[in-house]
Amino acid sequence: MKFLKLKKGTDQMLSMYWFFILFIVSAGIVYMVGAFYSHPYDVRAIEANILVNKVADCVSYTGVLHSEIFEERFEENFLEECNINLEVEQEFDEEQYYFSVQIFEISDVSKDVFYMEQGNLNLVTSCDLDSEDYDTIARCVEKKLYSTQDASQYLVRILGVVDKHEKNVK
Amino acid sequence: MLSKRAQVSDTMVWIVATLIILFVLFVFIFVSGLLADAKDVVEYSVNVGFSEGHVDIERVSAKTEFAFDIDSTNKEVIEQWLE
Repeated sequence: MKFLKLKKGTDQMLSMYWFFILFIVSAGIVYMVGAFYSHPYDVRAIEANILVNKVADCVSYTGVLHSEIFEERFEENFLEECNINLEVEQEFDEEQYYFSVQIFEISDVSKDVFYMEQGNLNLVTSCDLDSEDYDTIARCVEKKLYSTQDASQYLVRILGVVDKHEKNVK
Repeated sequence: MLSKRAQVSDTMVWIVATLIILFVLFVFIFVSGLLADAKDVVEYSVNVGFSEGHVDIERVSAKTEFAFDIDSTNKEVIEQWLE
C-alpha cells in the first residue's frame, strides 16, 4: 500500500510537469510564428528598380531618345507624359519617392544637357550611406544607358529612390 | 530506499530532458528570427530575351544594345562610362 501511495504522488507530479512543458513549447511556437510573420518584406529595392525602369522606358525607346525630351513642355509635364504617379498613402506626411534624369552628350560628359528631378529631394542623402548598416534609410537604384537621337549620341543617368521604411522595416 | 533511488534517477532524467527541450526550442526561435531578417528582397532585374541566340539581358541594358545597333561609334568610351 505504501508502495502504491508513492506511485500516485509521482504520477501527479509528472502530470504537472507535462502541462508546464506543454505551455513552454506552445508559447515558443506562438512566439516563433509571430516573430516571423510580423516581419514585413522589404521591397523598396524592387520598387526603386521599377521606378527607374518606368522612367527609362519613357526617356528612351529602342535606343532612341524621346523626340520631345529637350522641350520645356515635356520637362514640365514629365509625370503626365510618362504616366508616373508618385502619390502615396495618406499615412505618409512626406513624399516617399524621388527620381532624377540626367542626359549628357558624348562630347562632354562633365556637363549635362538635360536635368530633371521629381519627388522628395531629401531622400537623395540616403544614397551616400550603406544600406546594409542602416535599415531605415531610403533605397537607391541608379542605372545608366546609352541612347541616340538625330545622329547624336547621348548618355543617360537615372536615379530612383524609395523610402517607405515604416512599411518595409520593422 | 530503493523507491527513492528510482525517483531520484527519474528526476535526473527529466531535468536533462527539460534542458534539451529548452535548448532545441531556443535554437528554433533563433532560426525563426534569422529567417525573419532574411525577408529583404534585393536581387531584382527585369530581363529581356532576344530571339537570336536566346540572350537574356537586363531591360535598361537592352536599350543600350539597341542604341549600339543604330550607332556604335565611341563604343569603348560609352561602355567605360556605363560601368
